Amino acid sequence: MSTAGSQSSRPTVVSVIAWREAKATMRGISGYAAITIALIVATWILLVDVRALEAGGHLVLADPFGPPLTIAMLVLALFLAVSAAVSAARDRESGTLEVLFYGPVDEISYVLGKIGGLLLAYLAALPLLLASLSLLALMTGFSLTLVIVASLILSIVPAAEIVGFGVLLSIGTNRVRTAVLLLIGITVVLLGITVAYSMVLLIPIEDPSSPVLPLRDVLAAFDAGVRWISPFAYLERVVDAAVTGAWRTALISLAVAVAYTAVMICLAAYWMRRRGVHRRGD
Amino acid sequence: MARPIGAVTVMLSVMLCLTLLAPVPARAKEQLVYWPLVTNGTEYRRISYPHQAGSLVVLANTEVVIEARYAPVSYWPITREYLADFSQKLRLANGNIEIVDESGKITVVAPEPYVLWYPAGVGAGMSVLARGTEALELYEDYVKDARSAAEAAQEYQRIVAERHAAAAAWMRMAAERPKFLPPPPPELTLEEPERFQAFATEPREAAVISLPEGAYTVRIRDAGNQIVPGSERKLVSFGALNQAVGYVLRPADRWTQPIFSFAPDETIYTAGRTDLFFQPVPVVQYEARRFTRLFRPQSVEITDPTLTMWVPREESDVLADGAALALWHGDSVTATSPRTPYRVVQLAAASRGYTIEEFAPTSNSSLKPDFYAMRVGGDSAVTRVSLFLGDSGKPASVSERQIRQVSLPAEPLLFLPALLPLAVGLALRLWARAALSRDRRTKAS
Repeated sequence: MSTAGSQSSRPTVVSVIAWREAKATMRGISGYAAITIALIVATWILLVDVRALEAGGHLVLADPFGPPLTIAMLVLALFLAVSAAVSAARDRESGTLEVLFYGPVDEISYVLGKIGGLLLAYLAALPLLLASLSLLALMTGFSLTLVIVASLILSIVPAAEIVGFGVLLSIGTNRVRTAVLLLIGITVVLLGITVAYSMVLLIPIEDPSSPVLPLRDVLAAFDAGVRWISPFAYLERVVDAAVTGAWRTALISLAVAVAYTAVMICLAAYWMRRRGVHRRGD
Repeated sequence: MARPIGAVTVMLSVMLCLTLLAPVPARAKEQLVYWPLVTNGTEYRRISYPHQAGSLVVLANTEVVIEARYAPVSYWPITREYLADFSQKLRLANGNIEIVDESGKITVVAPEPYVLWYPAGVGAGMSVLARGTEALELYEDYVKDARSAAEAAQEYQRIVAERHAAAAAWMRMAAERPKFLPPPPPELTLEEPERFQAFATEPREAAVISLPEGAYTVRIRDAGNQIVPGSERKLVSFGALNQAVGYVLRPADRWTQPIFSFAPDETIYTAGRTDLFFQPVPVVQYEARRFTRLFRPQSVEITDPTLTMWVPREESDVLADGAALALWHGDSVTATSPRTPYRVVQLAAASRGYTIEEFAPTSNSSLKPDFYAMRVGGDSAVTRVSLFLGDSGKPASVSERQIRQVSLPAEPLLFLPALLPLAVGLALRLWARAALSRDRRTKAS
């Protein structure tokens, strides 16, 4: 039943939805709490180096904020994905989606607006994140390099990909709770495979007939797949590559992330068209 | 009741599948395995290349011995590698080694004698590959030197034994308290000959190559002018991307546990509690995936072609006498720290500590310095160091390191910046609420 918006008004519609979404995110306290949690985790990671410096008296590091930044980004990304899923599912659950589609809103403009709005909120979060990291750098004496700033800027693309992932998942659900649980479940599986593989690698294997071996090989295959499927893996890859100076890898990952985002948007719009915009039971 | 049984069945099935799926070492199959003697710039190692290992990887412009043998190869699931078994007597792949470059030019490499030379002994320092007549001469000299060193050591042992025997005889005589006691045998002043540690392998014949950077094909042509089946393989010769000066840093309170700074973009953070001894070393930047595959050709750890690594090289160019460390504060050099010999002196007290003192050699002492380094005081306000080369006094290229003195606050305080976004969020919320109530009041009035 989607009422297709005219081609000329689509950018306006997208910008209106995006601005509404960004304002809602920035006005709520949860976004700021998420940045704070991300920074607490980052500080906790940084404490590893701080303690090493305290214990040894000397430390050689190229970029002390590299690993903390990656972790902070992943925490923020998870918040973005949840926000995207909640936002789209809430629109359906409350009937807002149906109302919107009586106006000049179509599937693609709705999905683009949602992603754009959350990206705007993410952009607004970056200066806050940078300011907090700068304060931390001032307190510890660790240098905050330009590479970190570049990583923050480059992370915008995989952030869009993660938001798209969240929106796509929420399209298939009718309730906010289902959308959140689905997203968390998928994230746990994706991260769990990587963590499980890392853990299995730590097990010393001496016997070639050990049952750990096929488990390791199966997990290795899954992990290789997860690296291509998981949007979080792209974010990690882009930030890590930028921090280590592997710019070619960073650019390739960015290009793939752009394509991934485009696929997410198209899939979400297509799925929404197939499902319709009615509430469950209507 | 069916659920627990179902879960147990599923678990048992999974375990059974995993056990059945367990990869076992495949039965060894014989194949032509390249077995080159390659170097990483410091040491030489034999590396086996079954055909599953892919292209041969060598360091550009280094001497590399190329040999191939027929060996049984089996898959080892634990390391996920194909391993060749060289423990048995294997047949060599006879024929001439041919190297084909990218333009198609074929170079036939005739076998020649080679010797692996360890000037400081096996497992200590770098090894050198000598080839041709130089190898034969080197081996002859080595045998001659080793023999004379052994003779000198034997002679010394004989003199020491004789002296011990004379001393024992004099002691026995002295114990009998004779009327006339001759003077004791004189103290042995003869210095022990220095231990001969160098080692050279016996000369052998094989194809020795040294290739510039590039991609090549290596193959073996037999006596019948036919290419030996399975001998055609790709060979990659790679070189250094950059050169710089790295540092081995020895803190004064833990001189046996050095820290390393090989990459030029690294910063040295110091709490300023102790002095730091800088030992400059030449470092070379390589493509990480190539360098890793040099000694572990089946490694899948690094696949990113843009990742690089800095590797120390055992050369003494930058360690030449007269080299000094320039100590910077801001944009000006405040002092220089010359390369100085140091000796670690154990303290006699119960604390079992030590001090690091400048080594002052005396004429009749066989003591040697424990290390050479450039000292930087823990309390000095140095923000940067760079290396000045000896005679020329010129700064060595890419030798700069930033030094940051840090005084760390208590750990809980470090979490304060994390609260900034939350504070901003709360402030914005309060401001919005205040604006809203102001609006309401205005409307109501």
